[in-house]
Amino acid sequence: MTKLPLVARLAGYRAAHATGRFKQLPVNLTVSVTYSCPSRCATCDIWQKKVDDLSVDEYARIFPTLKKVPVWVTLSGGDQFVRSDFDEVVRLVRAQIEPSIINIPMNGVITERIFTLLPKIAHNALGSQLVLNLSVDEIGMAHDRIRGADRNFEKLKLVADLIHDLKKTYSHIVLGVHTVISKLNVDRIADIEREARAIFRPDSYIAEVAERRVELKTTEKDITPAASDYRRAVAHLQNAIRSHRSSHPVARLVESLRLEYYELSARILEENRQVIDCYAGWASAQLAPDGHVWGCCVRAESIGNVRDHGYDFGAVWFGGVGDAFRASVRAHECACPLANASYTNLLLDPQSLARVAANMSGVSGVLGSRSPERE
Amino acid sequence: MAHSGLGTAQRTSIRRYVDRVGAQYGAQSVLDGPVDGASDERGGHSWALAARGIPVTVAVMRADDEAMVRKGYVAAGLKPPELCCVADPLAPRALPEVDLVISVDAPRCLSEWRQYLAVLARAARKVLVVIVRNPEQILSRAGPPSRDTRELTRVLWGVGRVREHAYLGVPSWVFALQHFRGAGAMQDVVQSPAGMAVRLVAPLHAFVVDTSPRTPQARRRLGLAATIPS
Repeated sequence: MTKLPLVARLAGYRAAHATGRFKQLPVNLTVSVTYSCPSRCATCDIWQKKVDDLSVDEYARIFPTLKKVPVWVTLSGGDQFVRSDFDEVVRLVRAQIEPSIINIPMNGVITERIFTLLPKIAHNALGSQLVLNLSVDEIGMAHDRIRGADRNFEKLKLVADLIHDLKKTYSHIVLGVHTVISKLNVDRIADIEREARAIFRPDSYIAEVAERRVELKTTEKDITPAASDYRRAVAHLQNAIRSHRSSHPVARLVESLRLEYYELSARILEENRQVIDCYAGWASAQLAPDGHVWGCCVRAESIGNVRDHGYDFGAVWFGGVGDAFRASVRAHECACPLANASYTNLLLDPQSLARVAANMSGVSGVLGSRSPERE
Repeated sequence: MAHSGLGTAQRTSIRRYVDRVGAQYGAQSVLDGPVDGASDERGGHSWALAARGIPVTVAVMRADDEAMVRKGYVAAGLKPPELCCVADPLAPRALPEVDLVISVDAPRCLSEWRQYLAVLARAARKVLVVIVRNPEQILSRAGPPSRDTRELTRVLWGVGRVREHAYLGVPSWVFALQHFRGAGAMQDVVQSPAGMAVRLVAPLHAFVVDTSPRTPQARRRLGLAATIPS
């Protein structure tokens, strides 16, 4: 099956968003494979949720119904490595969806399982870029306290070493470090970023704000930093990117998108509104471990369960229930800086794209940067 | 078995590389595997280690080869190695356990090369060095199995932890060019990820597989991998 070019598909999402017709399957899919997790993070209570996880056989029936549309697939949890069959899920994603990018956030806790499965996952993901994002919220024992997991930071170092070894034989692997910026660490982001880069030697460093998400059971938690504090933190991250610009075109594109995302997320926190249109429910989606399909994980409103529709994702996605969610999002009844959806939203916003292009080519001053250096 | 020779520079490069790995891992005993796709100097890959006084065992599959191995060692001014004749290299426990095991171009010679590498990994207490012809080299002489680096790496990651992937025997003119452009020191070994020029001209590439398990679980896994290769 020939894939529709991404540009054409993005145009289709804009048309669907504007008219409510011509819906397509999502280009950005998050598959949460389990809620189970050994960590007890201060910023997440997802481990409290107990459901009947989809089996590998069930995924094998669901993924072909996505018709190879998703370009970017995130395999999240919980802790995915709780599942001993996680490598099989990755194999199915690659074989049946053929995304360009498979992104796996990792807490690095169950090291023995990780050491067993990660080489298999690397092999099973061949053909896609495999982004392995280590969750690093602090340095040393402070990280262990935030994540509620003994010796987690030391284990992360072992996992990073393994990934560096894997990169020697698997060139499609990218090692990332990901920090959730919460009230617990917002004042230390500059140090965390610098030390994490030195310790883990990642190919990329990204940060996202801690949010109140239904998926994570954090709607009552006071974890989101004040907008002014978050602005200071992202200003540091933006300056760090600007002062170490890559010469490689793809890396520059990623950096430019990241600069724009940081600015967007800070503005959403400050203004508490959708600064640009959100395409959750059109271009991005999430498949929950028990088969429910969501437009996004922040609201986690089910638009149907694939188990009730013969494991046909399309039947759920194009069914009428999702339209109420989409109408609500289109009416700007919600606003959040969820990174996964925001990157898709940036690609679908012409002005943001123009700024990304200008930033990439080094002429951002011509279009006027929205990101004053406040540090 | 399809054997073919290596050039002097390539043989020297292998010896130096194996010697460096042996020193790095503190190998106190060495096995030069019985299946060798570059057999014009049987047992010759471990000459540098033998010269440092490290006990070397050379496994051969025919008694006739033993004389050739001894002759090579004597010609190199070395004490003849321990010899071990194994009719079936896949037979369980046929090979002695040593710290470092060397395999050169085995996948090209043996259809059951996956099982063979698993047997070698089980014999290696510390490290297994697997050297094959580089399939990316222009006019490569790598046979069909060696062409599939992906399958080879899958098998190697199944029997241990691949710590190193390097290109061997890189011609000096490549380094002369890189040196001229301000790149690093001249040597004939380049670690992965290597540039296109190196990948296109290097005749061999090597994998260093750490076979010393980290934990009891890993030891059990390694035992299983060595008995049930897939």
